[in-house]
Amino acid sequence: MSTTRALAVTRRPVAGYNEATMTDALLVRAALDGDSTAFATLVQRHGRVCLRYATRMLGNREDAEDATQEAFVRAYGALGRFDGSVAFRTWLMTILINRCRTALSRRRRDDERVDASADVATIALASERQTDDMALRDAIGQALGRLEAVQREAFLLKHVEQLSYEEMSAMTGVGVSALKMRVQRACERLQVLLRETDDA
Amino acid sequence: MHSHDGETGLNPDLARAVASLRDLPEIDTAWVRRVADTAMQRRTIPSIARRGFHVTPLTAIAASLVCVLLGSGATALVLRARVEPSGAALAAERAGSAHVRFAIDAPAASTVAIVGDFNGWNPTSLPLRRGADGRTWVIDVPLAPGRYAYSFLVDGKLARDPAAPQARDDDFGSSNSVIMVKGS
Repeated sequence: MSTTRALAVTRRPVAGYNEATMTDALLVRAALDGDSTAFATLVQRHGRVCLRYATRMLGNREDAEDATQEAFVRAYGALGRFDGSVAFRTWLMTILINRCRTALSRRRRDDERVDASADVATIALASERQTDDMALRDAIGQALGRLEAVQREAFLLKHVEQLSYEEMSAMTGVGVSALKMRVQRACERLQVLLRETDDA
Repeated sequence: MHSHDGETGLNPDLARAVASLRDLPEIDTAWVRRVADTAMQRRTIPSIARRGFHVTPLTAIAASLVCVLLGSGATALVLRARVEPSGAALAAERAGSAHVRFAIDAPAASTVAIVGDFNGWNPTSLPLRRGADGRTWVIDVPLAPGRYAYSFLVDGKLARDPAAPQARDDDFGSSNSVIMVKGS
């Protein structure tokens, strides 16, 4: 029999989780055990990506925060069904995509089109950019807001979130060929809209 | 005719515009905490709240009685588990007054660790050692009396303890393993 090692046994990490060693799957397990720090770490880790997608999709930060929070609430409630067969972020984004669709369908009675430009301008950036880039960001934000929602969704997932068509299909429930078509049409439309902005 | 960016398939103007959309928004700690707290608080509430149920005094009394009955049943089950923790015979056998032995049969594994609420789910703090038979991985962990959720980490992948009673959290359907450690 080997000697028993002296082990430091603590119920909870004192200073939060080690980002480098705690995988999402481990954080999910800890959260399942009622550890709020573990779930907060997941929110910290994936919140920015969720907010980015929701902001671009819904056109303003306030609605994006609501959709993102609702996605995390639902994810938490369904955590026991997360089996690790896909990445946590993929699973979470699937929920978020549906929350954004629901938010848009509520809004659709008034107007499906959103003005993404205002929100794009309010997003705090990691680094200082030139004025030209600011104008460009405003322009693409406005153009995005004028796309049909299904095209905007496909475009953002492909070119902003940089997912594969297979990942997109798994998340959205839409076939690969249909997604390719939506992305292509979104690109064509955006180019036209950006040219209009240049000409104005 | 536009040239296209080789990587994205976008023309250069659009590719530059799209790149500006990839900046990540900042989030603050308070927002993170609020989202996490809201999620944990609302886990069982929304379906009732959304449907607009009203609770009459009679319903409340009936619900209380049901809770008492269910609570009694759950207490009985817990007591039974505490009396007979050897349901997880292979997984956890007392190896001393304050140590619990965890073992798993994993002959093909290169590394095995145990993670649980007793070590903050840290994947590196409790590695198992391969036993003399070359296939069973073992560790003795000092644990105070109580209930612990845990899982093995076999070559980096989470694996339930096949010999332990599975935790069946009523809300989550949790798949962590659970061990009850009784006092000496």
